[in-house]
Amino acid sequence: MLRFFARTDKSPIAQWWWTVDRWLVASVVILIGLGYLMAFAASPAVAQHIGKPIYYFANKQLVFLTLALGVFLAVSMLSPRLVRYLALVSFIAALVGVVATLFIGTSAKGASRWLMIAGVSVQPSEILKPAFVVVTAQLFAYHKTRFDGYALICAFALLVLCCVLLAGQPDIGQLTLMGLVWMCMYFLAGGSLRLLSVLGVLGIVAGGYLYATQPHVTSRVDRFITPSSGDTYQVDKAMDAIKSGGIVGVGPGDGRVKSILPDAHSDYVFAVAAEEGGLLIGSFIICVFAAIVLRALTRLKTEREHWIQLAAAGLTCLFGLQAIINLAVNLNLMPSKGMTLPFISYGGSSLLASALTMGMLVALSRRRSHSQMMARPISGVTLQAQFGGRA
Amino acid sequence: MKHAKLPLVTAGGDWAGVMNVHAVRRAGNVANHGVEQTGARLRLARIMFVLVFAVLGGRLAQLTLAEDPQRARVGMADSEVQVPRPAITDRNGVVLASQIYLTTLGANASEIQNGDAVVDQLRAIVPDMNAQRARRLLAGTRHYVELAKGLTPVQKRAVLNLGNPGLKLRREAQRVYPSGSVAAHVVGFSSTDMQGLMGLERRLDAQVQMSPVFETTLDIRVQHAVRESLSAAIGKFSAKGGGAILMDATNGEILALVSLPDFDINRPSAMPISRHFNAMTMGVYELGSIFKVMTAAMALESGEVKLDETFDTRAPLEIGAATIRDVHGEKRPLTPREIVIHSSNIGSVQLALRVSDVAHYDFMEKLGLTQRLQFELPETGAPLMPVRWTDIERATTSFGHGFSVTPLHALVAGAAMVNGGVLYPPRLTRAEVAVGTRVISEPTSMVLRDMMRDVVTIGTGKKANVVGYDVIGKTGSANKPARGGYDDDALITSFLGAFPHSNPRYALLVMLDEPQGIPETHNLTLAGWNAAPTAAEIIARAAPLLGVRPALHAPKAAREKIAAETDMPSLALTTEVPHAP
Repeated sequence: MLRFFARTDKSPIAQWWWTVDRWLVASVVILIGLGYLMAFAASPAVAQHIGKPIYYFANKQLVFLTLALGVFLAVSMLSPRLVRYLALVSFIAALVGVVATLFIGTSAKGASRWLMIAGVSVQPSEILKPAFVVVTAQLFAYHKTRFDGYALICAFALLVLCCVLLAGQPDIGQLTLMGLVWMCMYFLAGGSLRLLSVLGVLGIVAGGYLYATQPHVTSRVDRFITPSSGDTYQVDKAMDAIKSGGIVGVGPGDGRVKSILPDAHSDYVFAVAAEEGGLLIGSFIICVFAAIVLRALTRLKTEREHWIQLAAAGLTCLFGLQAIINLAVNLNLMPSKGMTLPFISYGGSSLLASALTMGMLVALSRRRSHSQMMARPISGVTLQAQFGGRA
Repeated sequence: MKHAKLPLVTAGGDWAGVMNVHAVRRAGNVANHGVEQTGARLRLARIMFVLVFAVLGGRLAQLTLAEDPQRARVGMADSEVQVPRPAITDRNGVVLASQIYLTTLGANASEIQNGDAVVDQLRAIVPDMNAQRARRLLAGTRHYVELAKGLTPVQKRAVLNLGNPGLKLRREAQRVYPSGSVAAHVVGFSSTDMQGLMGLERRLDAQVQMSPVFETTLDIRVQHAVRESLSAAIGKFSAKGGGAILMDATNGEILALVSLPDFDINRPSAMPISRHFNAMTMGVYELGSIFKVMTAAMALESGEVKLDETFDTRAPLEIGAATIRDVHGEKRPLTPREIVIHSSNIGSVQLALRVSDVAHYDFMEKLGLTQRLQFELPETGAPLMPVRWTDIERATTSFGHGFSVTPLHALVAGAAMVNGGVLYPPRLTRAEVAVGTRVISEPTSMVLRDMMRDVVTIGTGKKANVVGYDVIGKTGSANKPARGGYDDDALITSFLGAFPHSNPRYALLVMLDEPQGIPETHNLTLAGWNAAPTAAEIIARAAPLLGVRPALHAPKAAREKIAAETDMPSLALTTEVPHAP
């Protein structure tokens, strides 16, 4: 059925077609399709609400989605070696960008997270996440294979550095996500559970500190625990929207929540989808995310390259956790947190970051022949390790 | 190479080591060990992800399946009035308040490009639309502009057939009150967004369980009769206002409650807001001599006063710095019965001072005169009782001065005086079983009935009599309190009555605010000249509606004579002649 290319075709596209995880690619394309759909379902109402032209957000999002599709496909064709370079370059660039936001960033809603680059506002912290994951995965792999304590310390130092920068913006949501993904990767890398529990406790202490010192964190958590203590307008309206959706939804375009919530096109896009499409569309979206995560993790079973295994797992966790946090907020299972739903929420930076994440994940999960692996050792360490050598 | 020699294999911790026994055993080298360990832990990660996504899916199912989708409709839920408000009816099922649904035509101006063309299309469908205004609104960018109200179903379909998505049709509920201003203060009214603002309409908001019909105890026919009679009286005596309440004395059900001036509840803002004031349940007044009935009841009930005892009312009574005088001035010793009939202030004070101050206050409290009434209408007034309770306050209280209550308070207490001695709280909803509290004994109540009958036959309330209905009652004329004392020219006159005498079924209170003297009343303004005849008129009209049969007692001798002359022996035997229809 899928014989667009001959097995013997050695062109890059044919190579890609035969080695890529086509289910994963299909799932991502479905998500991007849903993104197109939601751009027209949710954002015109929001644009109207704030007095912009009706397709203001939708048109921008169309451009971004198309761009994201391109980035995703292009990145997915890279070899693992190029993925490493791409990650390193974008990590450094994003880091510089994040530092720059602290000084010349444009602020919105009390946080300076955006940079104006050639008339487009970019959120460097979004790009930072996938790049960070790939870089850290290499450090973990290095640590595990070479028993290099310094690599672990480096990985931790990178986390601390990123956390400090994100806390400066402040962007507690991204910070939490990064911390969680780091811990997941450390766990998957075979990290010490004792150390992990210490880090977990540290994380809880840090959360408590934020709760005690950051007024907006305090109020969000308080409002989640005791809804009567404050204004729970957005969450309440999202709940009403989802409830009113029922099994089949109120019908495309007939949803009401999108004309009420200011974040209907970004953080609460799932509520809009569930209102208009009901349980059917809502569970479909959840299933697509679950399918991507499980498919990617399952595929890693056969991966023999440790850093690739860790990087792919880390990217999957990043993608999955971000989706889970957004869904949980939409379903009122968590305090509200500025987290977008990958590919479906409005936002250019978030979209490109998601495309980068999934592109690198697909690239890393492509099947490679044994000879390819041997021919392009990614590090001396691996080579030595594979031949039983010791440093 | 044996794994035991690897110094850092257990860097992942003991547990990790256990998890990866197989992996380590099989692994030929360090790198594979790491990969195997990660592979094992990935299994755990997969399980966790499956669980978390399952929780999310379950939560979504819970939210979407558990609730009735219509109830949670976003935006609609803001008004919280999804349940239709019940219709309000009188005791015979006549609708006093109901709702109709109107279609309102609006538009999202920013979605409509060619406003003028659209207006022309709409004009053909809705001719009475203000085209100029519509053009102006559609030229703007507002997201909702209202163009026309009250579209018919045909017009609605025609608008839908235009197929213009910028046009918005809304179904809007509107309360209608067929009774207009007849029962304005009882029914009350709602705002356009279905929030009750007054009367029973406001009361309904507090109702948790809404049945489709809210049946009141009002009888709209009686209400209408009462209102008309009262309105005529107010006109005749040039009074500022007035009110009347008709109550079933045997269970507290209110059949008519009129407060004038009133207003059309269909257009509540068309009249000055002062007309919204319910004088009968919210206004508090010094109602005067009608409370002499209660004072007599208290004195007799206490056992301190005998019916045949006499009280000297010849000289004004000095109490502290105050002097109590009589208006009518019989200037002779009076029995308690005569004190009530001739409305003697001096006598009433003496009756009241026979009982202890505590017993006096307790009696007032028992009659509900010291507390705000529990009533279905939200508009209730709290009585103003004297701050001190010495002889002078007790003296003025005995003839209805120095304390203010709502007219409804007075009626409820008055009904208890004549119905056999049981106080029934007033009510606008029908009760299966009326629960009251005994406040005086039955014999005392019988005595009071007779006293009040005498007021109407030989006392100050003669004009309240209606042939056949044996009206009983008591008049009250009170000077209105004014700055530093009382206004000699401004009276609140009232008549507290009941009928029929033999077993009072209905109690009535009529109040007039500052009635003026007219030649017919010899320019007198006392209650006997205005409130009493108004009560008579009300009873004459309401009693037949209520099914009370008039008892016509002609003198026995005359009846026998007529019977003999007309050769109709039955006439001589009949004591009660049915009222001719």
